[in-house]
Amino acid sequence: MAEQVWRVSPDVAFVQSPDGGRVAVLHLEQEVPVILVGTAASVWNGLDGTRTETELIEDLAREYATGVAAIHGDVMGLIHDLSTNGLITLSPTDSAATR
Amino acid sequence: MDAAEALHQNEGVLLATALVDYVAASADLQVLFIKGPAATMMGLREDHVSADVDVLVRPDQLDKMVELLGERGWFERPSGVSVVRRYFHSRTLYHPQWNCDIDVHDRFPGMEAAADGAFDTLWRDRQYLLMAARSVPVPSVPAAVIFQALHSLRAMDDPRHQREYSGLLQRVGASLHQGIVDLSMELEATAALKPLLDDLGVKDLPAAQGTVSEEWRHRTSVQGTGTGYLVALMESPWRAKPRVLARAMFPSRNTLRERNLHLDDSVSGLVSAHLARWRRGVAGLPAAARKIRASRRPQRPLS
Repeated sequence: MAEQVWRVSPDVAFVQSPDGGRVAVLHLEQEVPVILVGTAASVWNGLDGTRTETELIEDLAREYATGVAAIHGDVMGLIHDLSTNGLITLSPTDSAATR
Repeated sequence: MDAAEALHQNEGVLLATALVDYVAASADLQVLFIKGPAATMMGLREDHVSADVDVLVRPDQLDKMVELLGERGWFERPSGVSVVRRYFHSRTLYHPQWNCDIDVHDRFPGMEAAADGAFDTLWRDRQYLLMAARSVPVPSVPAAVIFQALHSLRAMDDPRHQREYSGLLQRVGASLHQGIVDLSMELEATAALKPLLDDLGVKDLPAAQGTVSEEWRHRTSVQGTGTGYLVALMESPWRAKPRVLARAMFPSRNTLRERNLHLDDSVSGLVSAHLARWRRGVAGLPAAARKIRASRRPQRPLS
């Protein structure tokens, strides 16, 4: 389960701040954008269609100098929210592998 | 995720651009994003945050575009009944939860070619730029220069427009000159663009390229409601002047709402709005009179 790879959904537009600390995200079938700041923005920036969930969590733990266990729940919770809202989707290779 | 965090202006403009593109593409409508971020990305203006999204839509698809955006919660800004002469070239939409407007244009002042033909020309030469991680259609670089120049030349007594125009001149390289000339002829915009073509040192334009239209002359001379009412007062027959004057002094609530969408409808709110309007009108009268005098001087023919 933790080996899934996520990427931004095709019908999503987003604007990242130059330092990556803030992202404004709009699902183009929805009316208003959502804003991700701080660690949430870092999670978004890591959903690049290549990293597995485990790799992403390890990278974030290094970036924020904390333990994997300390952030695992929050990161997975955010990924769940983003996917539930249609903002991210499983990457094609991952989708094929899980079928 | 935080929906309560305020959307920044630059984010709003780019995301609204992506939204308009998506809505248009979903219905097979043709649109081009003009001015704003596109001009910045092409290096034609300084990087400053735009207040709205400017989109040019194929003229016969304007109503459909406005309707589709209406279904997404974007409403047309109220337009007051006015005795001032107006030339409509765009419709302005707002969304209560967004921080920018969307100006949907079906033509662009200064381009005298038929609107559908002008759009075909601009569409033929389109390119694509990445905005909000989406690829959106924008005009060619020569067309973008023409849009920027016409936008500035329309209101050259505004210091911001003067700065933008000067900046544009510095940014337009000689390699673009021929493309600008060819396109301005095709769009029948050479008359309005004469200052630009002169400033770029473009010579040998065919002589009979027309003169500026009445609309262009009106737009370049009448900026601001005060000037508009003054012109309307001068141009109207004597029997109509009292009505024009009354409208100038006591415009409808919708007219007041054009300037302030959140107009306070109470008696004191309306009195304040009228007082503020009168103050602006009186303060602007001398400048308005000067502009009208200047605009009525005989124009030099195109060289």
